[in-house]
Amino acid sequence: MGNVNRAIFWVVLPSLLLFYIVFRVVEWQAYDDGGRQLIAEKHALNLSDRDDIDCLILGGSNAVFSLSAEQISQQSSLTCYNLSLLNEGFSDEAYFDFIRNFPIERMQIKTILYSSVYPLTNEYFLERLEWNQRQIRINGEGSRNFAFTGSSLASYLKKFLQDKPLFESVQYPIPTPSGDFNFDDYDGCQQDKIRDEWIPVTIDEDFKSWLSENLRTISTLFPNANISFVVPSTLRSQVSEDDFAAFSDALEFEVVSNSVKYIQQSSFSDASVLCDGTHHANALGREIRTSELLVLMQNP
Amino acid sequence: MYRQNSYAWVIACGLLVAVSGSFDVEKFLAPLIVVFAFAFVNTKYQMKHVEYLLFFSISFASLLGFTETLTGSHAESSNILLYGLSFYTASMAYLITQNKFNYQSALSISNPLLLSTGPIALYFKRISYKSLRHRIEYYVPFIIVGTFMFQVIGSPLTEFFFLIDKTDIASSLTFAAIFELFVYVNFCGLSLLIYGIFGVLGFRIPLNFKQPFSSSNIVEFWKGWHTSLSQVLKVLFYNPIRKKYSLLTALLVVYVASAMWHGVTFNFLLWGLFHAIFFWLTIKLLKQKYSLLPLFLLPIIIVIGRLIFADSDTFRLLDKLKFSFDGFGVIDAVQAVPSHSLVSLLFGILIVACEFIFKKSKIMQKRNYKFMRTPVSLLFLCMLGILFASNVGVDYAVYGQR
Repeated sequence: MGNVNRAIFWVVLPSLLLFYIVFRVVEWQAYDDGGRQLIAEKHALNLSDRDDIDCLILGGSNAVFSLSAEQISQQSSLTCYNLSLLNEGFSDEAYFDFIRNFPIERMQIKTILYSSVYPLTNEYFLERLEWNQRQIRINGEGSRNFAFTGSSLASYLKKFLQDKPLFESVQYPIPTPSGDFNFDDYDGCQQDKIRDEWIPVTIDEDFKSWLSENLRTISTLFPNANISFVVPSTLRSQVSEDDFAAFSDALEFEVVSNSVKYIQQSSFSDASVLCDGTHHANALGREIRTSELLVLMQNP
Repeated sequence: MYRQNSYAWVIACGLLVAVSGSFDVEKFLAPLIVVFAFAFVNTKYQMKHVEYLLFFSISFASLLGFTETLTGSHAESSNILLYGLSFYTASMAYLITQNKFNYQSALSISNPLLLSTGPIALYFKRISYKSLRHRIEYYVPFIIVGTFMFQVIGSPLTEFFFLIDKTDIASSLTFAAIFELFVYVNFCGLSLLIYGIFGVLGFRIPLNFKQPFSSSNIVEFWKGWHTSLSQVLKVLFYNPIRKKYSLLTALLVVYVASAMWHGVTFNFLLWGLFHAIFFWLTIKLLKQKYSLLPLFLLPIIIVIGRLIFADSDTFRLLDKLKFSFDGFGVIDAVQAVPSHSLVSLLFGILIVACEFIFKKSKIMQKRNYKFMRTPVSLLFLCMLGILFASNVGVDYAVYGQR
């Protein structure tokens, strides 16, 4: 090796590696909650002067994007509020603490629609268990582990050149007075980027215990409510109908054995009714899914 | 040597635990116990033709549904006790044929790092007599090149996988070409990475890829692709059969055996027959001194071969093989992937183009990626890596974990 080559190998390359690690550490530490804390506070504000709510939508981003409390209120005798949170509040403890401390008369809630995507995705479910263990709070701080990959340096350079904030993630809009996602204030829908990758969970002891624990907590929080567990609509063409039917039967058995009603929503027809994910509807998709849910709620 | 191999085995376990973040003791111990048990049985009872039984054990496991077929999508054994079966049985089969299978080799054969993605452990030589500095200077560049190929180019290419569902000619050929590139950068990248890691630790293992695209025909291409498996196939099938039968028969047996090693499905049988026939045809053409036609056939064989390889859904594959034209909608589909994937595609194409265009230059002669291992190239790769390394796509070893 010549001197220049030696310098490149022993000095420049390790320096680049060190720079990369420092960059990843800085990225890891610079967490932005995408407006989650503000959204939670807005929910509290919305409900502080409401005493007419008798129906709540609970769950994660599938319900945030794809269910409308306003539509349910308009098309049924219920007065509904959408209390679902992005990432379902990250951990069960954080989400149920958030509900427990909410300015709402829980005894007067007659209907709970709990729409969770976790049964449909093994990857997210395992992540959920990890977040539960680490007791991540609803703003998601600390949810990310240090990783050697993340957003590329090139994408940060692009943001820098466009004079955009470097570490700001997707900002979600403040909910409407009925708790619904405000599509008018959101420009992050990118249908062409949506990929269909659902692999349902294995219904094992971990899953059964997670499910019954959550359903029991909801029953305790809302003792007078009829609880329905809703399997959300997704775009799931990669799972065959037969496989999904078998999975759904097994899941229904578990849900019903916890004395909770089971509602399975049909899959979305195509990406044109979606916003930015296979379980995130756009305004049209939300209307379709909510209408279907209203029909399914009437079934015994 | 036992101590050295044990040290390599423990370090490999540690590395895998550190990378995966989980400690599956069965994954590490099951292959070790199986290989040792087999070494004991083999020493006691010298069984005839047992190497073939070993080689095809992965085919039986695949046929009975215990392991997935190896289409290049994530293939993991559903039975943790069969983890790494394809690699360690191929290693044992080869070493038995060479009369080199013993207790000592069992530790290297069942080394978890080799079982996670190959290569097949044809040998595991100690090179710790070379100074650490020398080993770092020689082997770390392999780690850098391998990481760049696997992470910066390979993972983002998984964003193109949705194209597998499309059956028109433009989409299926585009998918096959991109998938070929993905399998190459993924498998070769990991192989170079592992080659480099073992080198730094003081062990020499087979270099599993030797610039396959620095070729003028399909025969040369196969000399550089998954070389450890090629060597096993040559020793187990080609050499004995060629002594008694024609070249075509030997090639058919070799490729069908290779196909069955990957998985017992219609697409692999077709893939084996396809490659055997074109390999034979290329040899015939080269003997007739035709060199341009094999060169022209090379990309066609590679892409069509990968199209067949990738799709274990028989009906969809047959649809694709009708080569029906349905416009160029694939262009829009390709443009919809994240921009990082398009950049990775460009990098991948550049590497393959360099391998092919400069194949006759001095730096390419040994076909050991020297052109990417010079300090200036490494500097360039590191800078690009730092700029474009991202979490776009999925990381997994296409040839591992079964």
